[in-house]
Amino acid sequence: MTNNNSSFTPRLALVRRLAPALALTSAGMALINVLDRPVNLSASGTAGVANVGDATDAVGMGAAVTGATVPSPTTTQPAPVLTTVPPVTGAVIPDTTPTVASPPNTTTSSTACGAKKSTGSTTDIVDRNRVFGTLVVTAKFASNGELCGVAVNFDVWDRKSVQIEQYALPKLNARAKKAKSANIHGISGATAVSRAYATSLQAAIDAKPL
Amino acid sequence: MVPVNSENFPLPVNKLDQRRPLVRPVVTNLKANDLVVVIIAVFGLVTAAWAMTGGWSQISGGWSNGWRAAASLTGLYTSLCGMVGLMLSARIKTIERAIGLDHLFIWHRIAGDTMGLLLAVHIFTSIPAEMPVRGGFINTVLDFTGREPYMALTAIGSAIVVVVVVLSLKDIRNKVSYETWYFVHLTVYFGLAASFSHQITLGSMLSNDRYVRVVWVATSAAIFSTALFGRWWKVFGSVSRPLHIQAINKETDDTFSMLLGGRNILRLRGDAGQFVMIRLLVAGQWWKTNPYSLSAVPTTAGLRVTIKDRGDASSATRLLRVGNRVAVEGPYGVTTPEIFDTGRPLFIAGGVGVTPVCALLQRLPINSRPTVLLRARHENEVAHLAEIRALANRCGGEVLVLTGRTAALKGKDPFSAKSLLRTVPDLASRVVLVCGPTSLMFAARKGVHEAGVSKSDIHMEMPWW
Repeated sequence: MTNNNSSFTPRLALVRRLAPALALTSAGMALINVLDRPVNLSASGTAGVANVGDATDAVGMGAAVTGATVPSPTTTQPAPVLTTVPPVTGAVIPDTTPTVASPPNTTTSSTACGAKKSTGSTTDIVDRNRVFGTLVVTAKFASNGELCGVAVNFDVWDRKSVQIEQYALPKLNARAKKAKSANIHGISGATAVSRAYATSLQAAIDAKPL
Repeated sequence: MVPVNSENFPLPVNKLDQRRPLVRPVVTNLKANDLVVVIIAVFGLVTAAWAMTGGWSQISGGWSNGWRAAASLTGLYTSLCGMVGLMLSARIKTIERAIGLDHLFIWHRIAGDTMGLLLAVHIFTSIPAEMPVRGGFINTVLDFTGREPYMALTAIGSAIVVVVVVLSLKDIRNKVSYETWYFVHLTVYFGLAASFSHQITLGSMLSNDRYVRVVWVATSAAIFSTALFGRWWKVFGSVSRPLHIQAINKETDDTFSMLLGGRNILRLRGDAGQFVMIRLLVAGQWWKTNPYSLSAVPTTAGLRVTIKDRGDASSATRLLRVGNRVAVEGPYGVTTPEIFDTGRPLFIAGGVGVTPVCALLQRLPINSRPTVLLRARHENEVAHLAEIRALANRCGGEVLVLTGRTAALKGKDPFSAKSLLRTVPDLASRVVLVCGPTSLMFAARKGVHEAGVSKSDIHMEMPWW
């Protein structure tokens, strides 16, 4: 028995055999940290409220979602966006930021769309007795009373629904704008949302200000 | 008043002083078929739950939801296979007694391979299922690898599961050392745990129905903790209450036996014909376990194991000294003496495979008349040969040793049905135990079966490695 050898080599043997497992585990953990970038929906997680402007809006989710701090629509954004976006943000999140400076929607009367607005009913997004959340449609009308734009405010309770919403609502907005009514085809894979959207939009159209 | 009788208050004697066999292993009526029925029932139950929580409407509504249905079903089955595999790896006593540790490992491998296949199907069906909702292939893949909550965990978890499954395929596994494979295999705990959350957030069956979800989470947690703690608690117990080497004895040029004893032996139950997993608690060896057959009936004096000096662990045992600590798990195995209740015993053993024969002969009744066929290159190489001869004589049996190199047999197969029948004319009525090198075991089993012995009367430890 040679003590010197036996006390040294076996320890290396363990390290050598343990190495692949440790490498696998640590690579896995590192990759999880790198990959794990869930879609950032709301900073606090309490709101879950997001706006979807109409499909043609240059500002989509990102700007409107942040919730906690309503983006001041002044410096960074290009001018054409200014005319359409502020009414949306101003109209949709008044309760979360009541102290925000009054949005400059009075100045937007020059554009045709958004001269009149009406908000539809708060409708449950329901499928087979399961409620995923609620949705409110704000319809915008041109000065001649024609439906010209739609903004949606939704509040859903799980992240998968948020993704369905993000996918479906811009399309629904575009369809509504094209049809100029609530008589639109639903989106496959988002049946419940389509149904709720049509209901709320119909209510908004019915309540159109004269 | 009851008179005090000294017999009611026996003096506490040291239990180890009275040398007696260890308590026999627990007996169970559980059969392999029962386990299969339970597993199939669980799969059926889950399928029913899936169908009732929306699955049926998916497949009855035409092909448009086919991908989704396939993805959710294979996902559930993948998870179930993982649970079955975990359950088996816990080495639950009753199940081990019913089917034996060898079959436990083989079932475990079947569950693992099935899980790997189903996992692949699950991945490649869930992508097309979600593509319309998530806007194309690229977006779906990005969502499934991190943008969807918990999916980064899941992607890495399933990648680890895939690595573990692939590394366990026989051809690949044989290229790495046992311990390398084993340590990588352990990372499957991480892989399975990491991929659990997405079942709740994305699996519509579980996210839609509260009761199904509660049952599923509870079952998964129970099985995971059974595997984790059940398995490692036993390892911890074997290490914290080790046996000590009582004696080391050289048997032949390349085999030696050692007696493992000490007061901790009283917590073991075992019988002849079983084997133990041995972890030598000496520097450089403590992280390896190796299976060794008991070569004598286990008694309170100790477990005798006979070891051939060949592998790295075995050669290290030459460094052992009396008094060294040895962690013992088991004894495991279902080839206990009861298998010979139904017929006259025939042992076929080769090499160091004589060890369980030696132990079983000690437990055979006096009129059992066993036949022992030994295969070795030289009689000097058979460990415990004198002991086996004496034990066989005691039961009225005989020992036949076939010596010589296999090449010198000139193509005659000593384990063909014909030559076996010439040696043992009443072969068809025997109960056969085969042990030794893998090639010998399978050759002998084939010959014995062809000679008319039913499969249920041929006993051997299936090689699981």
